[in-house]
Parts: sequence; C-alpha cells; structure tokens
Amino acid sequence: MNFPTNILGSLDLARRALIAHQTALDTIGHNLSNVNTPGYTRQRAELVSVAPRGGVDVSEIQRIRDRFIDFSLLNEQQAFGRADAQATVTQRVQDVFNDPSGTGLSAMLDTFFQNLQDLSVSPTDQVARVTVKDQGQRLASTFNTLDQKLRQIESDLTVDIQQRVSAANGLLGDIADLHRQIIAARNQPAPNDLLDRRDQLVAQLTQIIGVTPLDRPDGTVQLALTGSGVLLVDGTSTAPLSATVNGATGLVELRAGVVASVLTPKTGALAAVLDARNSPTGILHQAMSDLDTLAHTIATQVNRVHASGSGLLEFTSLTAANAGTSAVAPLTAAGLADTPVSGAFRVIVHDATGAVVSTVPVTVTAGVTTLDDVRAALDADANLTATITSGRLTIDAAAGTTFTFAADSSDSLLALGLNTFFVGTDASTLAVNPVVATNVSFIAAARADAADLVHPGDGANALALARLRTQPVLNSGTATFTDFFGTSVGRVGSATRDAQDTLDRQTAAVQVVTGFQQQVSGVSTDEELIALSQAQTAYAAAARFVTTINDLIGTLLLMGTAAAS
Amino acid sequence: MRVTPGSINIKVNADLQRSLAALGRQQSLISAGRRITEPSDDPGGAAEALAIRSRQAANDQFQKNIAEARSSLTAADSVLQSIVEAVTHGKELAIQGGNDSNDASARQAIADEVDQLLEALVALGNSKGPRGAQLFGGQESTVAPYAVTRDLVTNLITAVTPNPRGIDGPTPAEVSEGLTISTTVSGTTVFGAPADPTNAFAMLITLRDALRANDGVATRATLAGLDTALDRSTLASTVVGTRLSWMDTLDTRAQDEGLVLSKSLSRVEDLDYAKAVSDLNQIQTSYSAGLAAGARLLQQSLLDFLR
Repeated sequence: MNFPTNILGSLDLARRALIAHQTALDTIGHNLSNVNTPGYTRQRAELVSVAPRGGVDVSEIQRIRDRFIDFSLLNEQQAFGRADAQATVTQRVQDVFNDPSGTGLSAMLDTFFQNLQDLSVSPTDQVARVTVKDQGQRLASTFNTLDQKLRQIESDLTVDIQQRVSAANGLLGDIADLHRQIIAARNQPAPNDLLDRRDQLVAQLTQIIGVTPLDRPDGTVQLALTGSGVLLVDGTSTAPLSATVNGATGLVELRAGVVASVLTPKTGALAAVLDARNSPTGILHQAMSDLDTLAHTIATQVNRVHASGSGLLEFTSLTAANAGTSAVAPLTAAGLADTPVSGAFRVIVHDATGAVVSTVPVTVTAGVTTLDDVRAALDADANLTATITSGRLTIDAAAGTTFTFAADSSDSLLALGLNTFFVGTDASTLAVNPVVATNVSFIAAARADAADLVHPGDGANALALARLRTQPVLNSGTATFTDFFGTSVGRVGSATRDAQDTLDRQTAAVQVVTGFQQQVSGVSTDEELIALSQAQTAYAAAARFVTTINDLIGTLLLMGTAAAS
Repeated sequence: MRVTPGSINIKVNADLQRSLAALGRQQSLISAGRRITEPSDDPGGAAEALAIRSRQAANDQFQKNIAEARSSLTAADSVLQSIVEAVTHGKELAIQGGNDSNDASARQAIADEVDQLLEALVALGNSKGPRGAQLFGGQESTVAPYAVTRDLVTNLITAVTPNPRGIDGPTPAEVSEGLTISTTVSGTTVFGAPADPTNAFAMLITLRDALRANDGVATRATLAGLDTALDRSTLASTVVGTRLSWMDTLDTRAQDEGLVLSKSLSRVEDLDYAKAVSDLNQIQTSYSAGLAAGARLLQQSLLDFLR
C-alpha cells in the first residue's frame, strides 16, 4: 500500500502541533492568571487530530460550565437577595420596637398608671397632678416618636426601591451592551470572557430582582422576570424598570418598559422591599397599625372615664376639642373619630361655694340626636350658654357659676372632646388635651356624688383611670394595653427572627451551590500545573519533530549537492 | 468530585465566618448578662418580660399605696387614742360631778374642765394627716370637718356642726389588685352622727351645761350617752388598728410578690452564665480547630513540590 506524503507537509504538521500546544499553554497561562478572578470560568483548549495523519489542531477553547448549576445558583441568589433585604427591613422595625430594657412605650404606660394611682390617693396634691400630666405628655410623645421612626423607615424604603431600580437598570444596560459585543464576536474564537462578565452581571441583577434566563444560540440570554415572565432583556433590547409612587394609594408601583401593568416580583431584594413598603399586613404597616390601634384605644378609654369626672377646678367656659362636620346631622354621622351611642350625660352647674345650682341632663339617641340638639339642651338652662362655632361646641357658665360633667353613658363627651385628657386619634396625633395641660387642676380625679356635689379629696375617677391598666379592652376584649403591645413586640421579634433564619439558610445555600460551581468551573492550580507539564512536553516533542524534519530536508539537500559535485 | 482551591476557600471561609459570628454573639450575650437583648432573641420571652415588668410596676405601686395608707392611718390611730382618752376623761368628770357632795362652785370648776376637753376634742376632730389632708373629713379633705358655734356672751361652744357638704365620702387606695382600703375614718364613725344625741360633742356640751347649772340628776344622766360615745370612738380606734395590721400583712405579701416577679423576670431574661461560658469555650475550640485545619489546607499546592 502506498500512502501519499510530502516532506513540506510534515513541516506543516509540525507547525500546526507547535501552534496547538502553544494555544494550550496560553490557555493554561490564562487560567492560572485568573485563578482568583471572581466569576472566571476555566477554559480548555480542545485538541483534535487532523485526518489523515495531519497532526493536531485546536477545535475550540471551551468554557467549562454546567448550566444546570448556573441556573440553580441564580435561583438561590434571587432568594438570597430577598432574604437579605427582608432581614434588613425587619431588623430596622425591630430596632424601633426594641423595648426589653424597660425604657420604652410599655414602661411609659406602666408609669402613667402608677402616677394615676398616686393621684387617686392624693387628689388635692398639685405635684401628683403635674406628674400625671407630664407622664401623659411623655406617653403621647413616645407614641409620636415611634410613629415618626416607622414613617421614616417607610420613606427610606421608597428611596431604597428607587436606588435598587436604578442599579438594576444599570445592569440591564450593561448586559445589553455585552450582548452587542458577544454577537459581534460570534464568528471569532468564542467570546468566553465576555460571557463570564455577562453571567456575573446576571448574578448581580438577580439578587436585586429575580430573573429567569433562557440561553439563545447566538450566545445571548433572554432574561424574564421570575414568576410573571415579563422580559427585561431580550438580546440587545431592554425593558428598563421604573418605580413611581401612586398619588392616590400611596403605594410604590414597579413597571418594566412600556408595559402598563404593575409588576410584583416574587424574588430578589426588590420583592422584599416592595412588600415591606406596600403590604398592609407586612411587618412595617402591621407595626404602624398596631401602634395606631393602641394609641387610639388608650385615648378612647382614658377619655371615656375622664370625661365623666370632675377636676379640682370646674369650667367657666369650655370649647370642644373635636369639630363635627355638621351641626344638624346626627352625632353618629358627623364625622367624629369616635362614634357616640345612645345614652345620656349630665352637666352640673355649681355656685362659688360648690353648691348645686342646676343639673342639665342631656339624652343622646344614636342616629337621631344632633350637635345642635345637644347645644339646645344645654342652652335651655338659664345658667348655661351653648354655641357652635365651626363645628365646635362651646359651653359658657353664667357669672359666679361653674360647670362640670358627670355620668356620660353616651360617649358623646369623648367624641366631641369635652373634658377629655387626651386629644388625637392615632399614634402620630396623640397629645394631652391643652385644657388639662395648661391647668392641671382640670384633671378629673373626682366624680360628682349622688347629690351632684364634687369633693376635692375624692380620687374615685383617678382610681378608675388607674384601673384601666388591667382592663381587657383590646382584641375584642381579650387583651390589656400591655398584652396588646407585648403581642406586637413578639410579632416583630418573631418576624425578625424568621428573616434572620431565612437569611442564614439562604447564605448557606448560595455558598453550597457556589461551591458546586467552583468544583466545575473553578481553576485548580494543581490541575493546571499538571496540564502545563503535559503541554510543555508535547511542545518540546513537536519542536523535536521540527528538528528531525529539518534534518531530513538537510539530508535531501545534501544529497542534491553531492550529486552536483 | 473535582475539588478546586476556590471551592475549598469558599468552604473554609464560610465555616470560619460562622464560627466567628457565633463567637461574637456569645461574647455579646455574656457581656450584656442577658439572654434577650432584642425581641428576636426570644419573641415569646420578650413579650413575657414586658408583662412581668408591668406587673412589677403595679406591685411597686401597691407597696407605695400601702405606705401612703399606713402613714395616714397611723396618724389617725394616734389621734383616735387621744380622742378615746378625752372621752374617757369626760366620763370620769361626769361621775365626779354627778356626786351630790359637790357644791355649785366645785361643779363649775369641773364644768370648766369639761369645756377645755370639748375644745380639745374639736381640735382633735379637725386633725390633719401627714399630707395636710383632714383625717376625719372624708372626701372634703381641704375643709375642717367640724365648725363650732359660740355663745356671744360667754364665748362657750354651744354647738359643733359637721361640714354640710358631707364628711363621710370614701377615700380608697388600691393596695392590691382590685382591693381598696379606706385611708381615713369618717368623723361620723368616730364622733357619731350630728343628729344623734349620743354624739360625743353633744354629750360634752350637755354635761358641761348640766354641771354649770349644778344639776346632779342631769349630770348623772349623761353617763349612759358618754358610754355609748366612748364605745363608738374605741370601736373606730380598733377598726383603724385592724386596718394597720392588715397593711402589714399586705405589705409582706406585696414584697413576696415582688421577689417572685423578680425571679420570673430573671428566669426569662437573664443569662445562665455557667452554660454561656461553657458554650463560649466550645465555640472557641471549634473556631481554633477550624483555623488550624484551614491553615494546613490552604498552604499546600503542587508548586511546593515542582522543581
């Protein structure tokens, strides 16, 4: 048999071998140089034999990567992004609610009731009165501050969302740019390093907003929002995200590109932050509404008792703290924060010696009695003048007389803000009624007796106020103020703990899968050094082959010279 | 399985991080001395601690109220003893003056003594407590409960009238959960109702006038009424004494309760040092071991052996 051969062809074979092993050596050098480069994928020069007996060639520089592990890692990173943001938010809310040291809201509440006890024992003591007023103000301002801190978190979250959205948009743009370069480089040797950088950007993006990638034959990936499938990147085109505050609902709305529908990401940091910012049952809004409920209930309960009591001083003129929207609509529909019920109260007029001049009973029927009816009932008494100015009832006593209130079973006094201790209806507005704050003698420690007389040493009303501490007035009559706050603190605590546990778990999961990825794609110096020796030997052998062929050519040439001479 | 320095680095780093974090957490627990530094450390415990603190505050307040009630009742007790003594002395004077061996001038002298007794009794009835509140005025704590009417000529007391606005209003202090005790005794309990003929003031006035009139029969007739008045003030004194000893019982109970609450709070919040320190040692050991193992693993490479 005869195989065709050619001495210059052998030289060509040697040249190919040298180039192939040089390429392999370069690839090893590239791998060794990038041993610590984040996101780097090890590469391998794939050697193939050239048929027939043509030596060796590099078919491609392969990027050693397992797409399944890549996608698993992306999934874990999305969940990590979400858990990380969730843990940060819950921790911030918890920092506001952190009360175990006994200096926070619950301690303020305890002290307030203690001071009321002191007042019930010493109703004529001005110091006890001032202390009750001061502690009431401290309690109210603690509510105000807590509410303000929670609102600060809410507005910080809005800023946070904007920042994350713009970071995500930056990444979307960079990914599209890389795609452009990848497509341009498609016909050259594979753009492995561009792909590495792209995959790294996708990993960063998915921590902000969860995306599901789909590989395209041209080396690009299509990125769809996990869960909804809205495309964020498709080849070189992107759908930039935008976050806007809806003026009507106050919610932050996330949109992508020109799609009008509001997106609700399921994973990634934005999922957690948007949920905390928008969800009414999320940890932040739950905490805010708990605080509002507690503040409103304290105000209502304290005011209900206070309004039926009498101070050391009685009123010569008193204007209601709360305005009704209409004087002729029933009190129950006059836009008052607390709704009166059917019942009655008394206004007692005393002379300068404290003797009873007259008693005015006012009956309130829910859905019927109007503010003007109340005014008329009071005005009918010769010693009282009642007027309504911009929705507020004002009562004036005739010269030489004073008036006080008793036995309100209709909640009208607390609803109108007459003879109340607190004003305000939620955590942000709670404050001590200026009437009481200006003159502590108006704090109603006493109650008019059966003969409608008021005694200075009577602390019955203060005692009734102090006893509110143990009354189950919240959660449908099952929880005291402290119980309710404790439940709220416990809820924030366990949410924070859950978030921290999830974060720990997710951090471990990302580490495990990153480990897997490193096992496949990471550079092993040992392995590369072995490959280096191999390639070096192969290169030396190919070089030796060149020398041999050269010798052969020399022999042939010498043969010719010998013939000529 | 292919192992690369990268995968080993990640694992070693993560393990060391975990140990170090545990070490840091344990250290902060030990230096704070508390098991719960924020609600997430133990959400249930944090809520329980709040509830216990609230009960502690209430219990402290009950002790304060007990002290307040005790100081007022102690003052009332000592005044009541003087009142009992005064009424007893009045009865002795009635017995002495009732003896017909006394002549008019002797009875006049006794009458003067009874009059002084009456003045003293009115002053005692208008005694104030340690905080300046009337002891026998009920809720009318700022006005002297007893006003006197004097004869324009002799300047003698002709009538003692209680404050018309009432002297019997209750003045309770909450001394235990839902339990109140009156911190004062009403004048009516001590001296009798104004309309009652055996009212202590009325009896002394009657006695004095009988003695001044040198009326032996009328003088002797006051004895029965004075007995009733004496019984009444003695009873009031006993009631106050009983209340005072009750305060002692309640105070002891509140102190015990305070101890129980402190213990509960400590159980919920405080750190078990022995366990915490032994945990710390354990974590420290595993951290050191991890460091040693990591150091041996990371320094090796084929490069060490290639020549």
